[in-house]
Amino acid sequence: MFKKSFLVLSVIASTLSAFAAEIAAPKVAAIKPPEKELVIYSARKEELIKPLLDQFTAKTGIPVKMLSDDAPKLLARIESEGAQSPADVLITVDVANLTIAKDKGLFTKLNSKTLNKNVPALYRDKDGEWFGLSKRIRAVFYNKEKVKPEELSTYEDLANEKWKGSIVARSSSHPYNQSLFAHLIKVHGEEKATTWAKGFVSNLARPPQGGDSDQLRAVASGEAKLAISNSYYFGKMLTSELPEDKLVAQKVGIFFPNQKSAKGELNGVHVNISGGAVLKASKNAKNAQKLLEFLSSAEAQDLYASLNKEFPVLTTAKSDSVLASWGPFKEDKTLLGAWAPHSKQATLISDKVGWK
Amino acid sequence: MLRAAALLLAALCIAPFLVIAFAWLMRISPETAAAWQHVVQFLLTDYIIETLLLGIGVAFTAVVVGVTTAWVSSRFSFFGQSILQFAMILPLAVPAYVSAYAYGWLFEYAGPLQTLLREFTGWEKGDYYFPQFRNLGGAIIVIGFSTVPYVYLLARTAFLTQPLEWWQAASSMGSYPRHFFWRVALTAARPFIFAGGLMALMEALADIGTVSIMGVQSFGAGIYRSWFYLGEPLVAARLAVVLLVFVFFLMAVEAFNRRRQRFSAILQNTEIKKIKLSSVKNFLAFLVCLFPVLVGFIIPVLVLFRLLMYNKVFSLAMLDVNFIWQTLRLGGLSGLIVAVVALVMALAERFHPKGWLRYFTGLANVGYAIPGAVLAVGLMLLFGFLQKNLFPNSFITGTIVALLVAYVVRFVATAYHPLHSGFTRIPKEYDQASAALGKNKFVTFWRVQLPLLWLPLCVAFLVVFLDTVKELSATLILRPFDVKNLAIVAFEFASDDRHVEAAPYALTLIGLSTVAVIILFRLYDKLKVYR
Repeated sequence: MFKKSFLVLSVIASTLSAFAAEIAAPKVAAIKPPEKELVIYSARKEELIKPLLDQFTAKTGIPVKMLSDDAPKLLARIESEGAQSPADVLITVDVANLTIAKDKGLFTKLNSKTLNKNVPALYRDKDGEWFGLSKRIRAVFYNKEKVKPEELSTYEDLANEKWKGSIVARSSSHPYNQSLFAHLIKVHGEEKATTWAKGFVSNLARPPQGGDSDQLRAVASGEAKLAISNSYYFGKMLTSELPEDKLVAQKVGIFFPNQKSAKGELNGVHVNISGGAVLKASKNAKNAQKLLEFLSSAEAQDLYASLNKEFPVLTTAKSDSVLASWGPFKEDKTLLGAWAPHSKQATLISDKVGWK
Repeated sequence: MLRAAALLLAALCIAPFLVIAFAWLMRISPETAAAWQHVVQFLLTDYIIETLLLGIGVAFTAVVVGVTTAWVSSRFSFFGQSILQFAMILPLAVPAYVSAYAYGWLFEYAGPLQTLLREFTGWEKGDYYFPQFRNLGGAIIVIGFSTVPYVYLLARTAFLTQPLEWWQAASSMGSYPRHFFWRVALTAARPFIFAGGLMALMEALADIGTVSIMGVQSFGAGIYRSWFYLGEPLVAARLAVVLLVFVFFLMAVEAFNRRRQRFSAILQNTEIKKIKLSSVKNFLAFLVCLFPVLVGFIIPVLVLFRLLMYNKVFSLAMLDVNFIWQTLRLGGLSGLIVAVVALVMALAERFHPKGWLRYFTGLANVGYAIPGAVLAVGLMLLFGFLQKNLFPNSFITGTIVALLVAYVVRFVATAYHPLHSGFTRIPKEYDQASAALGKNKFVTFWRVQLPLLWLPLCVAFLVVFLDTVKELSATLILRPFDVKNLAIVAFEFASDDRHVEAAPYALTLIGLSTVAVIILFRLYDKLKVYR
C-alpha cells in the first residue's frame, strides 16, 4: 500500500517538475532568441494563411509563429495582455473586426508607401491603421436547373415574395451576413433595411444553419434555389480534390448582384475584406510592417487568388483562371469604414425580425 | 494550513464568477443598457424556454435510458451483455459537437440518407416529409445520449451494491423483479440517479458547440452571441449571472439530495445472481442496451469513417504524431493538477466536516455548468486586470498556467465528486484510530487514507483527462503558441467547412478517448468492492 501511494506521488511530482520546466522554457527562449520571431494573431485559419507566411519566411529569413481563433476572442486576448502582449500583427477577416480593434486603440499607425500604393484607398483605413489584403465577394448562388440567371437582379430583390421558401443562408450572427446587412442599413437606412430583412427571412427555405459551403450544398441538392455565400467557397469547391465537392460546384452558378441596380440600391456587389494591422504592443514593428507589405505584394497577392480563390486587392495581381471565368463585375464603392459601424445594429435588427 | 490551502484553491475557482457577478453592479453605458433592453425584450424569453426544454429533455433522456440500461445489465444476463455493459459508456469518448455535426450531415436534405431516398423513389422537395434534425430535438438527442453514461455508471453502481438481503426479502414475500425495481431498487438508488441526471443537465447548460450547430437559442448560445457578436461583455455577464443563479439553485437541491445518500462501508462480497433471460426477452434486453451505444457512439463514428473515405488524398501516415502527443500531454497535466486540487479540497472537508469550508468547496464546483468560452474570457479579463494593477511585470495570459487554471475551474467538480465519495467510504474510525495513536493529519492521510483512495484518484484523473481532451473553446483562446491538440486541429478544419479533412483528427481523438474510457470502466468496477 505504502509503495502504491509513493508511486502515485512520485508520478505527480515528476509531472509537476516537467510542468515547471514548461513554464520556464519559453522565458529562456524569450531572453535570447536566435532571430526575432514575428508573432501573429490570426482569425484566418492556419491552413489558409500558412503558405503565405512560409513564403515570407523563405524570403526574409524572419521566422513567424501564429495563433488562430475567432477575431473577437483574439481582441479580448490582446486587450488582456496589454503592453505585455507578444503579438505583433493581427490578421483577420471582416472589416468590422478591424474597425472595432481600431476603436479600442489596439493598432499602430503605419506610414508605408508600399502599402498605400498596393492597397487601394477604398480597402484601407483612412488613418493608416489597417489594410485590406484580399477582397471577399458576397455573391448569390443559384441552382442551374431551377433558376435562370436572368431572374436574378439585386440583394434587395431577395426579399421579393417570388423567392418564398427558396433561399438559404447561414446564421445572421455570422460576420459575413452581419456585414452585408450593415451595408444595406448604411445605404437604405434602418427602416427600409428592417423591411428588407423581414422579407428575406420569410423567404428562407430552412432555419439558418451550417457554414457557407453548406448553403451551396443545399442549393445543389435542390433544397433551395438560391444561397448567399462568399465567392471563394465556390472557387475552392470548383478546384477541390474531392469529387463530391466538384459535383456540388457543377450544379451551382454564381451571380454578382446589383450590377444594374436602381438608384438608392447598392451600386455593385458587396465587398468585404480580410486585412491586417500592426499592434500597438508590438516590439517588432518594423518586421511586422514588412510582413504586411509582403502580403500586399504581387507575389503574395497572386497566392491569395490561386490558393484561396479570393480576389486580390492589388490591381496588378495576376488573374486566376477560375476567378477570371466568372467575368468582370462592378463593386459597390461605399467606404468599408462607413458601413462597418452598422454591424451591431444589423445584429439587433436580425433579432427583431427573427433571423436566427 | 490545510484549510488555508483548500480555501485558496476554492477562492481561485470562485473568483471568475465573482468577476462575472460584479457586472450587475457596474455602471453601464447607455448603449449597453439599450443592448440589455434589447436582449430582454426580444431574446430572453427564448433563452429561458429553450434552455429549460433543453435541460429537462437532456436530463430526462439521460435518466430514462441510463437507468433502464443500468437495471437491465445489472440484474439480467443476456446475449452480448459482457461487452455491452462496458460499451454503454463509450459515448463518453465522443465530443457532443462532433456527434452533432455527424448527425446533422447524415439527416440533412443534401445528406446521404435523404439523397438516397430521393434517388430511390424519384421524389423531390415537398414530395415527402423528413424531420429536421438541426433543432432543439436534435440537440436533446445528441447531448442526452452523450450524457447517458453519467447516469448509467452511477445507477449501475447503486444497483450492483444494493444488499442481497433486500432482494431475498422481497422475493420471499413473492415480489416480482418488476415490483422490486419500482419499490425497492429504484427508490434506494434515487440519490445516485439524481446526481447523474444533474451532471447531464449541467453539461447541457454549459454547451455552446452543439447548440450552435443545432441552432438552439440557449443561455450558453446567448452569452456567446452577446459577448462575441454583439460586442457586449456586460450583457453576456448579466446573462451568465442569471444562469449561475439557476445552477446554484440546482446545486442546493443536489446538496439536499446528497444528505439522503447513505454509504455503508460493509464489504459486500456476495455477488447478486443475475437472472437468465429467455429468447425474446433476451433479444429485447440486447436491443435496449445496444440502442444508446448505437446512437451515442457507433453511428457518429461510422459517419466519420464515411467522411474519411471521401478523402482520397489523406493517408494515416500524414497524421502528425505531435498532435497526439500534445493531446496526451495536456490531458495528463490537466488531469493530475485538477485531481490534486480536488484532493486538497476534499481532504480539508474530511478533516473539518462541520465548518464553513464546505460551502466554499461546494461553490467551487459551479464551474462545470459554465460554458468554457465564457469562463476563458472571464479569466482573461481577470488576469489582465491583475497584470495591469497588481503585478505589472508578470505575465499569465498565453502561458500554459492560464490554460491550466481554466481547466481547474471548469473541471474541478468532476474530480471532486469521485474523491468526495471515495472519502465517505473510508470509515471515520480509521482517522480516529490514527489520531489516537498520536499521528498528525499528514501521516493519517499518507498512511491511512491515500492507500484507500488511489482508485478514486485514478477515476478523478481519468475523468478530467477525458474532459480536457474533448474541451475546445477554452483551449482555443487560452493556449500558448505551441499547444495544438487534436480537438483544435479538427475544429480548425471543420470551422472552415472542411469536414472531410477534419474527420481523421476527430477519429483519432475518439480513439484516444475510447482507451481512457475503457480504463475508466475497469476502475469503476473495482471501486464497487470498496462498498
